[in-house]
Amino acid sequence: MIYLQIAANGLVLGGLYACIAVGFSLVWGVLNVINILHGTFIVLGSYIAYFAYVHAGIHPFISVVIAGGALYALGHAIHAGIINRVIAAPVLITLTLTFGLDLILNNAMLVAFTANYRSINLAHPLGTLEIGPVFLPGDRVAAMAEHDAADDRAGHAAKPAQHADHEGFAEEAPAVERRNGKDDAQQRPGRARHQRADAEGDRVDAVHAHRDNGAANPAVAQEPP
Amino acid sequence: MRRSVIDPPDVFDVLLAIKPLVMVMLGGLGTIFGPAIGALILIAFEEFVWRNLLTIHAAALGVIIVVLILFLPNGIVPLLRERLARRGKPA
Repeated sequence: MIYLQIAANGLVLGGLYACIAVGFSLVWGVLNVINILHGTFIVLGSYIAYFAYVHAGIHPFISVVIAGGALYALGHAIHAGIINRVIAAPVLITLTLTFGLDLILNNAMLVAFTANYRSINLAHPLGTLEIGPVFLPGDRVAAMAEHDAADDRAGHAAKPAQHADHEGFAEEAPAVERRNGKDDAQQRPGRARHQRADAEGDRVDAVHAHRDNGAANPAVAQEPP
Repeated sequence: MRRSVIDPPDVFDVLLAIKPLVMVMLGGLGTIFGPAIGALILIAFEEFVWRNLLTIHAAALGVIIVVLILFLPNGIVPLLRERLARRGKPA
């Protein structure tokens, strides 16, 4: 039975990581930029959620929108101001560049927030899900099944997953701009890779459809499919 | 001092993998003496930052990387070479 529990835990945590990976894959596939900064952005989004909850009492479920908007602005600024200067260079250059940016942002957050472990303790916890012999923490399940979190069961908090996803979607918008640019030929390999990725999961597919519907509007791009 | 344990984060740090890359970019891609010069400069700078600005040493490396890529993509040695060639021409 312990194996079932371990498998369930792995699935739930894996769902969270999958949300993060989808954003990373989008940026890589569409922009052809390996964005090492991705993880630091996710942590920054989590910090926004944490401080919004601790200081302003905003539920993580609501602060997702704030964090998504803020990180969209930051991602767009970094892309337009720094990454676009070397976007035509080989992928290794942009990888190293984002790694350098990652070091800077990482260190800045370390200085600003210290390395203390923090987590949101909800005033109304989600409790534990019990399926036969398997126990699942409610917040993790909510993080995994964030699509369904859009309904009005307001107690459901999915902490970093939503930020991760939002960040991924947010960074997708500059990609749309670039695809309409003059160097479309350069995009073709990335696009092919993206289509390959589509075959692997309908999640990515839905995002793809989103973009094809003219999701240059960040509000549309940020809406979970 | 003798150590009986090798701590993986110490010897296989991600920064350790990225530093040679930065040294090469700093010194000059495709040159022989470039990486050596780049290593010298990078380590000297790093020691300086470690000694004086301990809390932001990672950010300092990040700033080096970003500035290098944006403003000095070929490195120091090709830049010096180009300067020398240009100076030699009018004379």
